[in-house]
Amino acid sequence: MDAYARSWFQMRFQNKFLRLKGAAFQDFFADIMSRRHPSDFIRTRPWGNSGDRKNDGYLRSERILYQVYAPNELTAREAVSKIEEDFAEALPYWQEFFGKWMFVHNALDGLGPEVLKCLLELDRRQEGIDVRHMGYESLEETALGLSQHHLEVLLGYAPDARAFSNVRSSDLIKVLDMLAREDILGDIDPQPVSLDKIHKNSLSDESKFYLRMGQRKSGLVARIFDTFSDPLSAEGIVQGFRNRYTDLKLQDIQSDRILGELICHAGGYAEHYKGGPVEAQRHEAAVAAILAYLFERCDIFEDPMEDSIT
Amino acid sequence: MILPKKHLSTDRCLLYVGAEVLGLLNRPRTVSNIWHDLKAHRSKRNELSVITYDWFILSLDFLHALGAIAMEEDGLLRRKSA
Repeated sequence: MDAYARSWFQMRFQNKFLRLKGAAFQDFFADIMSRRHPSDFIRTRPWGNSGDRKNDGYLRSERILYQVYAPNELTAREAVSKIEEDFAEALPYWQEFFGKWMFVHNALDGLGPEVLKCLLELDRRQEGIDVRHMGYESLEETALGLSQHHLEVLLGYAPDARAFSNVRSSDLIKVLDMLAREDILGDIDPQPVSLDKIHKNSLSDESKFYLRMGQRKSGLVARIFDTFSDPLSAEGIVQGFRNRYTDLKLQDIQSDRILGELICHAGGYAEHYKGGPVEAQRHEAAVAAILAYLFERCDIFEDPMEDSIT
Repeated sequence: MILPKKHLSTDRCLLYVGAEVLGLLNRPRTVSNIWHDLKAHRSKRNELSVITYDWFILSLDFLHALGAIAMEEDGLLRRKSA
């Protein structure tokens, strides 16, 4: 796996971690753990009236019982209530089988003080049982330790250096044709490109790398726009991205997450691909080229020059 | 669409295409005749982008709105003098 592919997997993992909620997140967690610990990690499923007895997974060799909590929005009060209730219900049924209880959550920025205090108090209270939590960093480390084959099954086909070199006009046209179906017009004021743009937008190293990878073919995007039979198609596609970027910006979310959502908007991070792995990799590389083109032209993300003018 | 924009190259904007059409109207001509010559002219020059017939007609609409061309009763397009 080269640096290109690894960086893409990291970004794709974060995108999935943030997008999936509830049962879908639990399945994602179990998929990762089953592959990382084959024959050792046991998934559980609700069974009739019994439910799952507050067991969302069990790692036999280390006697760890997992409880997964991935709501749409994690509030301290609800998380504390969930921890106390689930632990209290799990303990009498599973006590002889586990020495560690792991609270798996989907809070990207970590747990708040009330939740952390609840976990620490539970850990202190329960003799013989360690109470811990597993968040983004731990799950990312677990996932990215998998082989490339497993990562491809979980996350899709990451474009590597060869895929970026081999992106053809036809790959870009397929993506742009799909986007051209949104026919939104609007005025776009040309802005000068600033060298500080990446720094200003606080994009992570992986995001910066992704955009730099895409820049290898971003020039081809401009030439393809010039071949579109409808000269206004390009403006329509770009305005669609600008609208999506503005919507995401209003939600006050991180730049990396915005980039992930724009990649999805462009048809990247696909769950299913037409064709085989090579076509899938070129598709993802084509999406990167389009995003890089938009970034260079300041159609998405902030231009630091705006601050200096005001 | 009249002027170039960030994602509308100069050679595709209506102002440019209109100027090309005016250059071809050195004598009264039919619409199809001008279109044929415009296509030939653009395909000879590799740096120029493809335009469709619809876009060509839009350039005629633009020139007509400016008062730069007129279609007479004989069905031929002509440049109008200033």
